[in-house]
Amino acid sequence: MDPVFMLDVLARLLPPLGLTMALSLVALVLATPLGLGLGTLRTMLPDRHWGSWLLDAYVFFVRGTPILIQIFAVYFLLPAAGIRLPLFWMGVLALVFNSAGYQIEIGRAAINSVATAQWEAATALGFGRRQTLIDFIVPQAVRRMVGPVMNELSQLIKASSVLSIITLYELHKASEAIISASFRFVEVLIVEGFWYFSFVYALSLGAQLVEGRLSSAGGLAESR
Amino acid sequence: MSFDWKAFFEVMPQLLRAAVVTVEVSVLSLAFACLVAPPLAIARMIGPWPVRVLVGALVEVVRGIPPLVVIAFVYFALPAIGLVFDGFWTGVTALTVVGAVYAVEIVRSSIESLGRGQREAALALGFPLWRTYLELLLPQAMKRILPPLTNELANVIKASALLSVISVHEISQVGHSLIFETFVVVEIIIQMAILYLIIVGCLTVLSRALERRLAH
Amino acid sequence: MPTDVNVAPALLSMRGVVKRFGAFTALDGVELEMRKGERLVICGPSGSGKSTLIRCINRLEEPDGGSISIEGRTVGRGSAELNALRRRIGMVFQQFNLFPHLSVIDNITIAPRKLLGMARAEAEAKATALLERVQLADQARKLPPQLSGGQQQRVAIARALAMDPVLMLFDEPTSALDPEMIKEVLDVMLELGRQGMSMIVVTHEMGFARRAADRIVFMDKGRIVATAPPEEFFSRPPHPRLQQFLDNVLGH
Repeated sequence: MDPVFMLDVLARLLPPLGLTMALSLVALVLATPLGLGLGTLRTMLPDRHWGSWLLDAYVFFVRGTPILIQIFAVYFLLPAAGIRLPLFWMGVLALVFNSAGYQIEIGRAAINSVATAQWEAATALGFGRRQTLIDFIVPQAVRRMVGPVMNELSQLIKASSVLSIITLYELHKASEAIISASFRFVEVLIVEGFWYFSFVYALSLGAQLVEGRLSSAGGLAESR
Repeated sequence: MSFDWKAFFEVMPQLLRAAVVTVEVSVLSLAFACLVAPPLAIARMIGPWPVRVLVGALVEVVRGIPPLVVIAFVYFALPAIGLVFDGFWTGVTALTVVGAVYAVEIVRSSIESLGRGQREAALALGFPLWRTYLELLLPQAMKRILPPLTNELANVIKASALLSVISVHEISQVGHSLIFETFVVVEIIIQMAILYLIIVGCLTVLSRALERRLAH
Repeated sequence: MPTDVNVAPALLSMRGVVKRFGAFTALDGVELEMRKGERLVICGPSGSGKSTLIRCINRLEEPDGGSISIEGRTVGRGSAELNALRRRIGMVFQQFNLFPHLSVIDNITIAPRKLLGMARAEAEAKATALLERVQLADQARKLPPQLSGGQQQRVAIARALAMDPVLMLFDEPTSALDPEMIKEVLDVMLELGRQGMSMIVVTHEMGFARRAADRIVFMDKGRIVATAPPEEFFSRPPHPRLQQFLDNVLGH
């Protein structure tokens, strides 16, 4: 192991790391309102509604297929349909498509986790269904979404590595390039892993912290 | 652009053969992962401290990096330590590592959620610590382990698509090259997706059946 | 002191036992002698160290100081020794702690089968006899959650007895039970004592203490402050703190 070489790699991987972060963050910013919104909508729709059917099929597809297939779909199908996008936005689109599917489940689970008693209390006061949702349920549910959404960002950072396959020069692709030029896989993979691990681990710690604090605050509110 | 059924069926034999490879890789990796996860989880909870630290670090690190990086590492590392595997077994090794570390965390948190009364009752009867975990706490935790484990195992099946980068001839690799050979795009991608949905679906159905049996 | 107790061999001897949890001292130099066949009731205000004391005897808690010997032997820290010790001491918990995934009969047979290598048929015959003793012969195939609290606790007693313990420890065995179920558990314990089982019972049930105990031990702030036979214990409380405790417990 050569520490000088590793420091050099550490620095050379900074721009690709920036691309990885940009892809993940932009995707999160776009996917979160979409996914959580659709998830909330899903709780309002009866199970037999066509909208429910559509959303469920979407979630089923996203969760049941590898992200690689979803990336292929964006990469091959968009041009086939005559839509030309820069590679970066193709990558973002694939990640958004994937993440929104998972976040529908986050939103839905958070809304459903708010106790029925809250619905009943608001309904008994004379609030309508939609107003109850917006004024009482969503504010409580949002706190339960923070942790899972932070986790979703770490999932996106990991998933964005697969974009290396469509030659997007993000962290993993750049590392591969350095490996094939230097043949020093141990050093390069350790540095690459270090970059991924730092962000993913920090985010998961953050998510645990947020979940712990917010849920205990929620727990207190409920017991009062 | 209409759906080309002829092309859809023409590529089917090759994709089905690839699906068999996907299933083989996945089943082997899942089996190995499920085999090593419980002892590793127990070692992480009650092993001597160097073992606890080592297993803990392995789990945290592998969970913190993309599966693609794990695959690359295994791909380069195995020959470096003198193990020359073909792509298939390299893939099985990598996916086993990925599956196992997630399973370790699931097993650990499920056992820890049982509460200390169970542990104490077993110890008070004179069960050695590790047998307490293996014979009393683990079976009891199975019901809690299964649903999240199914999710993670489904992720392993999906991660098998990444083995296309080390040229394992599974669905994604074969589909990808078929697209470039035939320029049939929509039909191939849809067929790949269907095959994955079926394989992942089978796992889900199996695990639901198992859950129901455990519930009795 | 009655001579028959005097000649019986010493079963348990605790010398200067200390147990701390962080800054809190749960046991502060406990001295206790117990002979084979004796029935001891430990009482005292909550936080006085009663549970910690009996959990130190089977080493669910490792004492920080002092020595504990069982049948004249001091048991080291090695896990094999500890497990052997625990096999000879039965424990009944406040929350029963039955294994919820195992049927009643399996709860009772698992330790003899897996730890003593007893054959299934033999273990089940023994378990059936024990279940009759705790009057639950008809519940053998049920799962613990299907039983009432009192029934679960009687199964827990049978589970501990299945290892033929030389000493039974009861950690507030009736505190988690509804009042109407307390009696059925206490009756089983009374019967057990009558048959000569050595037992230490941590409880607030003073009626039980009066009827079943050879000696009552009163603890306060991690120390044993008084030990006396029941008649003396209740008629002439040997300690002012005990007088106050008895007034509280028996007062209403």
